Amino acid sequence: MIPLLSTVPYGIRIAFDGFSVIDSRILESQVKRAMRAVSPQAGLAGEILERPILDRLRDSIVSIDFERVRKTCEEALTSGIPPTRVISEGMAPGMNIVGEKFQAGEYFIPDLIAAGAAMEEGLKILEPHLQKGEERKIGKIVLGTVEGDLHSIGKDIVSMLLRTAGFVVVDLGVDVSADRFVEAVRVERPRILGMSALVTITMPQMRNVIELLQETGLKGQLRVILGGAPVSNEFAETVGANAYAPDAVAGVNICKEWVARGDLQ
Amino acid sequence: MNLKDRLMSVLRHEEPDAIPITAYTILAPRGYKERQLRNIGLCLVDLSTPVYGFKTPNVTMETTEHVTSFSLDDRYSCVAQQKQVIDRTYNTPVGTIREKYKRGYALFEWPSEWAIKELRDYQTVKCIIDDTEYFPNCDDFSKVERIMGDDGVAAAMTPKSPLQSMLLDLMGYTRFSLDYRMHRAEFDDLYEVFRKKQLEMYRIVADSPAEIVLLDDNINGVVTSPKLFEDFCVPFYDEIADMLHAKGKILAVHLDGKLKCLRDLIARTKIDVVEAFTPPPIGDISIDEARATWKGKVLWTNFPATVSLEAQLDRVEREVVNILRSAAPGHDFALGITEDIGDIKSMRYLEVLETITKTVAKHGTYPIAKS
Repeated sequence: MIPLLSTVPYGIRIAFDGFSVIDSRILESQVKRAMRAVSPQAGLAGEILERPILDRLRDSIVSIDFERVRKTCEEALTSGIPPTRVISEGMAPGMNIVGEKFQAGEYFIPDLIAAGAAMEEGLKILEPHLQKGEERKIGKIVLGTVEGDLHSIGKDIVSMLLRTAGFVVVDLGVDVSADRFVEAVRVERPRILGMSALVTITMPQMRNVIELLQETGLKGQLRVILGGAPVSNEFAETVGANAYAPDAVAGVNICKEWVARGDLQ
Repeated sequence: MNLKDRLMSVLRHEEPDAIPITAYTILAPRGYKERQLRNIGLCLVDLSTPVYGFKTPNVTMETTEHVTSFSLDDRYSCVAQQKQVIDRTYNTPVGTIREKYKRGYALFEWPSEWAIKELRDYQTVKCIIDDTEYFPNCDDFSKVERIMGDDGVAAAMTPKSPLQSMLLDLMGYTRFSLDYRMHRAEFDDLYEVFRKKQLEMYRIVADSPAEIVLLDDNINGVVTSPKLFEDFCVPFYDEIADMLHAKGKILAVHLDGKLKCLRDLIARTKIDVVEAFTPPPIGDISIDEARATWKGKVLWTNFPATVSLEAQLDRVEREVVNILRSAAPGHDFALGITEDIGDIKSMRYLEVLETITKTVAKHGTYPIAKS
């Protein structure tokens, strides 16, 4: 087996470097069939053959190539890769790299928006193939910009990134009153509440929402994260929020960490 | 020096007697308190009156205003309640487009539905821009200048540059980000039409009596990336700066966001004044760094609203002193109130404004010692 595993993938890599997508797909499916015929370790062989597709999808997200995202998603389905794996091992790692590039100052908000839109294009192709109950939902979050503040950009980007990360997002929009936030928490029962403010004088509304959550006994059921240019860590601590996000990517990372650590159970 | 001369000396790169402290007239109180603040050094900056007019012979606009509450006895209360939605429909020979705005603090309008929603809307927007005819209209501006006298200045405010206008007024972040990548021909075509039309406006501004031209560009480098800024904003700024400098004008640009990634590009532009520059925590460049990077440009610094809103008055005072020390000795430097720091009728606002003004009066004598 060792010669087969060490030489065939090498051949595929050569083919991927030098051939068009169609050529490499033909070659790939032929090799895959051949390997499955000779190898009892078809799963391992499949992994070796599927990895380049997933990596190509990841790279298509990073390079924000809509057409390539669409084609690679279709190719992944044709190759029999489960849609959940296409999302979690292809597109999600791509969005993670986009987020890292944003935080490194290499990518900017228009890049984040476009990368998110490219991923949503891919999801449109994959979602019809997901089995019932297989949707990759990792938690629910209620989001909104506080009362008096009509800015939506920060909240919209966080919303988009959270959706692509697998969260169910209930977006209340802008100019959201404390009563509406609390009512949404009561009805939707999210694990996280995210509030945004860009106008400095609307920041006290965040305190009002948290106080109302405490008064109604709902604060203990969820975590509160704040964002927006004038908001600071110090302010978030003062008003009783659980976290402050200096930017959209950081905010999504905090939410993902809470999920990964099991803090939201 | 009187208040106007103090500010103008800084904007002309001359030495002032003290660091100017300014506030937009819309952010200044009225009556006795205003006089008191002016008497201790607050210079007013009026941006309310343009130096041009315009007409659109072939385009009409219908406006509907929706309010959540209304009283015949108090028709304007709906404005104060900030629940006003303005719905505008533009009828042009090539089609109709619609946009919606919500009215927020200080009557600023924020788009809730952008004019460009589909690719075909580009044609309609281009038609509106093409149809716009600018003409000189300086009488009111001259009146405002006379009203301000020595207590302040009137500046000719101009609208956002074409790129920022496309981003913030016409299509919003999402459409902007996607069309820039996926419909570049239409994007560039609209930009070019817009650029040429704005240059017509700037020719009129250049011939006006206004000495200060303030371009309201609201740049934030996190959104307007270095590439966008370099490809679109820098050449536009330089083009209008040449035009305005030839007629002795000062070009100030409202740059109030995070600017670290644009720092070196801004240094290369021909703009004279970085107006509304906001240090951390809202901005991401310190005054020291800005002064070092933008040598030869005036730094008209905004007092950070987060401090005004949250801090005790003694901390406000300390912050003003720190800013002044960072700017020492203080050439090419002014301090301003360029963003909302609360209800201008509230005692808190008045106390903050008074504290800032008094502290500048006490510690801002030029030249300032570094420590």
